Amino acid sequence: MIALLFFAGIVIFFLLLGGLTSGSGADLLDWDPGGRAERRAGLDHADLEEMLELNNRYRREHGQPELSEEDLQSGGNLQSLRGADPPVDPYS
Amino acid sequence: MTAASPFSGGRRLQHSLAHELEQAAEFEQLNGRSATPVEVDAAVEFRKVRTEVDGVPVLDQLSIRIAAGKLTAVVGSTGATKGALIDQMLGGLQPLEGEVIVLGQSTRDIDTDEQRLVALRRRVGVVVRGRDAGLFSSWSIYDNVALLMRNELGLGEDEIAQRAHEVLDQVGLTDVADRLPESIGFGHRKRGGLARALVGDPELVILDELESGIERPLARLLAELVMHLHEHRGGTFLSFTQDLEAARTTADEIILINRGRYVASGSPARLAASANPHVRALVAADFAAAAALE
Repeated sequence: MIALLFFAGIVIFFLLLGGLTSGSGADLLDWDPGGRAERRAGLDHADLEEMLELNNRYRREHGQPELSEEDLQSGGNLQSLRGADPPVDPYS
Repeated sequence: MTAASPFSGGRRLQHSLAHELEQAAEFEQLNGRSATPVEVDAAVEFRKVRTEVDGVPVLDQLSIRIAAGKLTAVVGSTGATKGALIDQMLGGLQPLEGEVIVLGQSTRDIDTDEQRLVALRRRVGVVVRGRDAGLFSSWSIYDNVALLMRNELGLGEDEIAQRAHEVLDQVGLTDVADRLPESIGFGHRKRGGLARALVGDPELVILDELESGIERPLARLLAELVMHLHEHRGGTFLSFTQDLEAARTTADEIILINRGRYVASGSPARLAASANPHVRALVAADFAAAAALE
């Protein structure tokens, strides 16, 4: 009887844990047999490359310097896109 | 090994943003207006608007002007406040006090006139919040974009195709026009939402947190794309965002709102020179400097 109650307690504990955890069970176990995360990462990378190319197309039209993936990661080359109105550094 | 999630950092940033807005608002209350609204030719105007949703105050004597023909970023209006602002611009919610004027029409005047309300909404394009940007999942990107023209504008298929392909080219989606949203990346879907909002050639485009649910570098590129589209097409763009750095580098005007109340507004350069140190820190998106002020 005690073993049965103990077993039921464990089951209830895991059910409650599952209910309180956001995301699916597969996410919790980091289980991805279909390679969903890999596909997602591939799509995200394609997205980034396409967006860079598209924005650089507009930048070329406006005579602005082109943006690279490194610029984007480091935050460089993103300033003053509005041209003649650069932000003032209040701490300088 | 995947890249670190941007969302944990995003939450910290959001917390810093909310905290700093609070400080900026407090400074304004104590020291008077350091950056009063500039008199502009307005596409949208909120005049001393007070609004409650389910008995909870969300806008408190809010007066702001969205400059016609500019790209304006509204920062700090999260959740209920932002929802109330958008609903009131589209005539879906009336203020308890004050007036909302959109493209020259008071929403109060057309509240009971369905035809005028529909006519006003056709002059406004909206990109809704979320990773899918409100695209219908079982329709191709092309069909999502063509929807408005088929259902509301009653155009012929040739003209629909011409206008849809033109706007799809502007957002760089020509190659994936026939694909379903779920088979493309979230950045593509956001651009699909943008194309759908722009295809009717609206005078006012409302962007609801375009950066939500996507990685930071992609969000930056999307913000820049919006700026290019604005320059290319003209019209008034109103972007609700939490990304101050993107707002500073791409917007003509920034409006800061805290808990439904106006804090400050102006061009990024004007706000960066504000007498309010918290406004300066906000516009520099420099939360380390902001923390040092306390």
